[in-house]
Parts: sequence; structure tokens; C-alpha cells
Amino acid sequence: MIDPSLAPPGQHVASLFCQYFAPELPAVRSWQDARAKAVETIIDTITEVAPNFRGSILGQMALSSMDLETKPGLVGGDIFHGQIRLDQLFSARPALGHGDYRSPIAGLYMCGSSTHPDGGVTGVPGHNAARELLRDRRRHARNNKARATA
Amino acid sequence: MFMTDPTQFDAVIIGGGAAVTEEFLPAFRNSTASYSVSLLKPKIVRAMDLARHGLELKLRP
Ligand SMILES: Cc1cc2nc3c(=O)[nH]c(=O)nc-3n(C[C@H](O)[C@H](O)[C@H](O)COP(=O)(O)OP(=O)(O)OC[C@H]3O[C@@H](n4cnc5c(N)ncnc54)[C@H](O)[C@@H]3O)c2cc1C
Repeated sequence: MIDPSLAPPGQHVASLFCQYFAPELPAVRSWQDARAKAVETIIDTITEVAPNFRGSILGQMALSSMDLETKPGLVGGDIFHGQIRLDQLFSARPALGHGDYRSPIAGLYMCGSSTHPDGGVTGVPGHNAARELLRDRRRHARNNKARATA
Repeated sequence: MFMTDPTQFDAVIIGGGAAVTEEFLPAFRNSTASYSVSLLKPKIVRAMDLARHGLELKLRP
């Protein structure tokens, strides 16, 4: 245990990132009904190679793509706010014509996973958005000064 | 400093987005989504003085 504040003494936490599950299930079935079965399959699979795994579980929480959509609001459960596809990268992220962190509303900026350079806890989208915001502020200041002297 | 007076709004009260730590069972906490920090840019950590705001990175053995 690297961080003892996570669990009582002698006990542990584990986290499993499991791929791949369809965000949408065939007609009628929802993740609400399918979640428990998926959890069992995952635990069984690990128990095959680590036989004491199932027996040592005190409790668990599972987040399906549906749950990730409810909280923290990832559309379709997409962990990166939009797939990392060739047509959604670089200046086309989140969409062509909107790759410069400026939103269609003047003074409202975008950052986060859906903007360049996409997902992961990098801090880079926010850093870049701040850079553009400061650039705009300087431009406004220059324009105001020019107008005042004109 | 990037901002002088930041105000945060979040649709989910707990905060942290996909990098959240949650108590998923009484007395048990864990990163319930994002589970490792490897991409966080050192330049940004320094520029925002994140250590002073409580950021401490631990290496996985
Ligand atoms: C299961 C999982 C595992 C991952 N593993 C890793 C990993 O190991 N390492 C890594 O680097 N990255 C990982 N990622 C990706 C990483 O967590 C995300 O890319 C990162 O958290 C994105 O940060 P963000 O601030 O852009 O968005 P988010 O963290 O998604 O935060 C968005 C915030 O906006 C809020 N919000 C949404 N809609 C509204 C609204 N209408 N009004 C107000 N607030 C709103 C949400 O509540 C949320 O707090 C993982 C993601 C998931 C889901």
C-alpha cells in the first residue's frame, strides 16, 4: 500500500481498468442490468490466475460506460471526451474550425480532454487555453491603446 | 499565475472529474476512474506551483 490513507491497516484497494465493453448494448438490455454479470466475468477471469482473488474481496464498485456518463458526465462513457481518431485530432479537436480553444461565444474558452492534445491527466489543454486567453487579453489591450491614441 | 480569481462550477458535487478519488466502501478510498499519473507535464506542475497546493506524486514500486 503506497498510500495508507486509502484503506484500513492490513487491507488493500485494487482498481481494474477493463477493456473493451460496448457503450450501448443490444435492444432492451441496459448496463443497469448487465453490470453485475460483467463484474462476475471480470472477477472470475482474474481468479483463474490469482486463485485467492475472489475470496479476498470485501466489497466493490463498478462503473460501466453508462455510469461514467452519469458521473462524471462522459458522453457515451468515452474516457477521452471523444475518440482519438484521425478526424478528431490536432486542429480538428473537438471539431474542425474550433481547434484554437476559443468557443463560438466570445470570451468563453474551451479546454479539457475534448481539446488538443486530448485525454489523460496532462494539464496541457488548460495550459494551452490559458495561453490563448492571455494572447487575446494582450491583443485587446493593444487595440484599446491604439484606439485611445487615435 | 494563470488566473487571479478562479471560480469553479461542476455538475457533480464531489469534483475531480475522471481523476476523482471516492470512498467506494466505508473506510476504503480509491481513484475510481483514472488510476495513474504519467502524462502530467512537469512544466505545468512547476508553473502552477502544484506542490504548494498539495500535489505529491508517488512512484509505483
Ligand atoms: C476509467 C478511466 C480511466 C482513466 N485512466 C487514466 C489514467 O490512468 N491516466 C491518465 O492520464 N488518464 C486516464 N483517464 C483519462 C483522464 O481521466 C481524463 O482524460 C481527464 O480526467 C480529463 O480531464 P478533464 O478535466 O478534461 O475532464 P473530466 O475529468 O472528465 O472532468 C469534466 C468535469 O466537467 C464536469 N461537467 C460535465 N458537464 C458539465 C456541465 N454541463 N456543467 C458543469 N460541469 C460539467 C464533470 O462533472 C467533470 O467534473 C482515464 C479516464 C477514465 C474514465
